[in-house]
Amino acid sequence: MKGFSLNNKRRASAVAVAIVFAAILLQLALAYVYITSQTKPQTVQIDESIRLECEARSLTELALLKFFLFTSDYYAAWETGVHHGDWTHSNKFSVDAPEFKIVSSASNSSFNTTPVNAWIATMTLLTDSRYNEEALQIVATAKYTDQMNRPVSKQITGIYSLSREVNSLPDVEMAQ
Amino acid sequence: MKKSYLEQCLQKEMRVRAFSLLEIMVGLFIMAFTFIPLINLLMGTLEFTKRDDRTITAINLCYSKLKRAVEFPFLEIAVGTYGGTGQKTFSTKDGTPDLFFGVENIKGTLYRTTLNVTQATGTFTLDTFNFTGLEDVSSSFSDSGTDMTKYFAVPANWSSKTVSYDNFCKRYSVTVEWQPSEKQNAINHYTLSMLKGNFMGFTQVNNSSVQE
Repeated sequence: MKGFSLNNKRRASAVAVAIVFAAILLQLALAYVYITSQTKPQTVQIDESIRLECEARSLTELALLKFFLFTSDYYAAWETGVHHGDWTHSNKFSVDAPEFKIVSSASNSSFNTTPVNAWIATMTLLTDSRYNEEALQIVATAKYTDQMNRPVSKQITGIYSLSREVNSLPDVEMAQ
Repeated sequence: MKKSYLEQCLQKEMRVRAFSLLEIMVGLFIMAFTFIPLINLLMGTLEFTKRDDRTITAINLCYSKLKRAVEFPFLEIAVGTYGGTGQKTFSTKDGTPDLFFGVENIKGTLYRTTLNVTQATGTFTLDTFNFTGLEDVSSSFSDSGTDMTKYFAVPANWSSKTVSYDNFCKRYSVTVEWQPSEKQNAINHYTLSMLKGNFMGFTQVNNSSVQE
């Protein structure tokens, strides 16, 4: 009888140890599954970053082109804001212009066709009169919602040095 | 010699705890059975890694070619489709081959690259300032001379306009196609697209030449 009681005790402890191990393993498995479901594959992250950059860069290019084509109008709009506090014309030229608010699927792939929203965030003249230097800063933002329904965004800043001359179009050189 | 009660118990315990050949065989079978899905999972992961490697190579190839393409002067790459099943190499001014479109073998995988250049169409909207009839226009932005800024506050001097930029902008799209896995016949594609403005010869271009 004593021998049986000794055996029974050991079996009970073995079951307890097995349950503890099983619980730990289950917890590890659940944690692994959770982490895997929340982690975005690297391929997708690289794809998103490049796609957003291309869309944002397209907009900075378009904004620079607009500045080139209508330089005097932009300067006039900018000066109106600086001297009279009326930024309507400047905003209409840049951030409020419909051509600078796009939804694009031009960049796409077999595994991602979600359209990207892009817009011009700011377009400003950076002037340093001490050094007689002027630059045009264009900031574009691209944003989209990924397959996990999370927003992903990227901002691109282009700074272009300018030389302003009377009655001529400026020479623009990409500084950054 | 008569064994003590404790020795008898221990001997019994050892007999009970020992494994028979049958138990070992069953244990091994169960273990092997559990390892089958694990090995499958491992093989699947290796296949995915290989597939991801090809995808990343395709993305990098696409991005680097697009970046290089938009660096070429605006007029150097005309509207059209280059590469794909054919071959096209763009060279630098001194004739050095620089940018290739067609089929390339990278790390044992074939990648087909195509450049598609189209005329970008659209319109610019803006408020334009009418300088006509105002005094001393030439000094409007200079440090000396008449201060023109007083005219900017007059709404009558401003008017809205919409201008097409069709002849000043192109869209460059690079597509890379590849086979993601030897086990599949499907072809994946990856396309990146960017706009490029015409900033060449701008000294000859003025506002009046823009199509309205």
